[in-house]
Amino acid sequence: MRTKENKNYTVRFLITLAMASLLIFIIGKNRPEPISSQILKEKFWSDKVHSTEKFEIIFSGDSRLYRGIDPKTVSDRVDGLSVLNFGFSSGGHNKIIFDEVNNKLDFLSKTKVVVLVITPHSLTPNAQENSHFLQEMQRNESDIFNRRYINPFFNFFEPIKPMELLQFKQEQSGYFERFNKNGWVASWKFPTNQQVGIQKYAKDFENNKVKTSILKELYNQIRVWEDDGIQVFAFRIPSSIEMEKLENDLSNFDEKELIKGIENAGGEWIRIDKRFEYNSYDGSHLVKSDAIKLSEKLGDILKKRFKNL
Amino acid sequence: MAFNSFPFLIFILLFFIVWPFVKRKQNLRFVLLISSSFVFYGWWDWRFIFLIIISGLVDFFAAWAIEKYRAWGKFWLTLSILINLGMLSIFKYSPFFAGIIDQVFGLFSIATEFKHNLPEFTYLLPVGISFYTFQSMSYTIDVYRSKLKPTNNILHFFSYLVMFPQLVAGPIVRAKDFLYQLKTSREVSGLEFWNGIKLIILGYFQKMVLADNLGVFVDNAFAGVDNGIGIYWWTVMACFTFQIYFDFSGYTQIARGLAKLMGYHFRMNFNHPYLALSLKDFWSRWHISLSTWFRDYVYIPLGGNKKGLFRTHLNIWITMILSGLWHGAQLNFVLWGAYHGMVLSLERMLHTRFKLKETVLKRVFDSGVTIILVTIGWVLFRATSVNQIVQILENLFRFDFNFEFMTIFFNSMVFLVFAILFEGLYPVLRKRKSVRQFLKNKYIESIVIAFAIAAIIFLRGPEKEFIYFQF
Repeated sequence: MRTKENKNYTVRFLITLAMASLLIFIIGKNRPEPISSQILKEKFWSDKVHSTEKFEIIFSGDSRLYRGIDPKTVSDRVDGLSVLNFGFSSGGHNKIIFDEVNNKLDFLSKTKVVVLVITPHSLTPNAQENSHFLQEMQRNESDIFNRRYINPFFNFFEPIKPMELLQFKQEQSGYFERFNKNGWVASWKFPTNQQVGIQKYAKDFENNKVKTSILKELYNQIRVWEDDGIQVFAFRIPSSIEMEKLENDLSNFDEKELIKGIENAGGEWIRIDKRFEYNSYDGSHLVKSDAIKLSEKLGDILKKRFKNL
Repeated sequence: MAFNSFPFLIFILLFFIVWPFVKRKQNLRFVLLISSSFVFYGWWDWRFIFLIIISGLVDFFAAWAIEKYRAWGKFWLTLSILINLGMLSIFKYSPFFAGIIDQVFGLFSIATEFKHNLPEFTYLLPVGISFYTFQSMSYTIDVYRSKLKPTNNILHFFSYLVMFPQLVAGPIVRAKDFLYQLKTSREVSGLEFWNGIKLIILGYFQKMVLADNLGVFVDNAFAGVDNGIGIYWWTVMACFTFQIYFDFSGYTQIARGLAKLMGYHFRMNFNHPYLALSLKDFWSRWHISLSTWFRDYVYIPLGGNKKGLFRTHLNIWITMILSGLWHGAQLNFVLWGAYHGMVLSLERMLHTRFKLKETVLKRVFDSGVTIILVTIGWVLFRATSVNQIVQILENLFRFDFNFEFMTIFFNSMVFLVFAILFEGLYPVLRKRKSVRQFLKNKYIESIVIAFAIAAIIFLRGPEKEFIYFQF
């Protein structure tokens, strides 16, 4: 009697487990895409810093770069050359990053290109700390391994917020991020607010301005790269009219001087036509669709100007 | 390791693979139970295992000595209590009391630095120290009172003291309820197994889905982010009221479920406390193992309600303040205990003066007043300083009905509604036989549990430590 009863409960337990597994599979397969996946975000940054893959074209810069340039779109426009978006939050142009760009550049390829994505903030002392890059670089090995290879396995089980369920397939409010291979974070925000970035930068530039010594280090590196047969391009990434005005007024940034310095060092400046026609969601970073538009345009310009293709 | 951590899943899997092979072997099963419990506890900080061992050895031998040398019983009991409370004072209360001494000397313009000069280890709080110290002490006291025969098997005693499901956050198990269970090999029936699984799933659901999601809003509010007034703080406190309940009750359900799978039984620690009709009723439903501990070992020995009106009220106050202090060496816990003492006293006075007829309306009114009083009490419990208590209480009683915060914290609001339904539906379900029978149907029960498992996976909140671990 007792054995029969025990068997019944064991069967009930197994049926419940089977039902739960089925339910989990169905929900996991049909779940709304998370607004921003923490697991994929962690994998994205660890891959960007710790991957040993080599690239023929590397874009270097800050968050406006990693949200504003899609390497795949650029690659499609330049006959499939490998492209890396090596942008970091508050990233600066200095030796820390230059050395890492050298590590990731494919020196065996005929085409070797570095594209410096310029924002006034990336030329300030605060940005030279490159704290986001260093934070990722200095993670311990087990943490990196988990982030790159173990945790993504559990992405299927990432929690769902009730808000995501209720507004499934509708326009939801939030800061959306999609983490793409080779370093691009396709981003958009709803509702948009142009003032968010403006206020942040106005405060930041109060005690943090573009410095000549940083520019000198940049020009020196361009010379070194050019001497090594690496073609160097630079351009000012579009943001918004208000942001450019604020940067020009508050940051000590002189675009004409910078272009002259880069060209004297052997680099090439890319002028982006109609640069205020690109849309930003916070006054600073480009929305996903306009990041693709800019990437197409850059790809076309680069292809025309490559020395060794 | 915490129940809601990945290492625990591995640990418990390994434990239940080995357990069936040793559960019928007299001493081997205790060796497995004790060693697993030490691994479980040592995962936080292995050095504190020695504290449990010292506390256990003191009480094991004190109880043995009391039984053997009855004439010296009081001496052994006092020695055991002094050592236990001494360790608790050093590791839990020394910074608090040193601070008070500094302040007292400061009143007489004498500068002392007792707090500053305390050794570093006194600032490290061993997880669950209050739980296992009280459990250990109750054993010796019961032997002294001749309510319990001491065990001669030290493995029995340590299995009772350190059994991992209840080691760090209770329930505080009484030796008289548990030691006899250890004497025989425990067979787990199909029904017990099924009930154990249900308790574990229920516990994880309460903790990971309800408590952790509500905690997001509560933590923001207490960190001073986007604070509002009036209805905002009532909502924050409603969230905390359910957060702390589901956090603690969730832990207890998992502990009881795990024990059931091993064939052991722990008593219920919560009995729907927010359905209480008075504060006295609340304390008979909330953290039952602690409130009965204080009743049996503090309130009744003080004289309970047998020594006149004044002493009754004084005893209530003393018991509640000590209960507050048990939670932590901070002024807010003392105030929380005093607040409950005060309200219990007032309630007692009102109940003796006014005896109203029991009606549905009165029950609704009593229930509403009780939950409001308990919720206000939680402000004292959750706040981190007296300033914050004053600020929150002020904001709580300011007239404001701006509901804008609900859009920002929409997710937490959804879980607040879940929480209210989860606890509020209970009386309806309890009374309707048809609903009870429907839910008892084996297919429906399986479907409900399957949905609960899916909810634990997909609706879990950001991982948080169990609140009661700090006590």
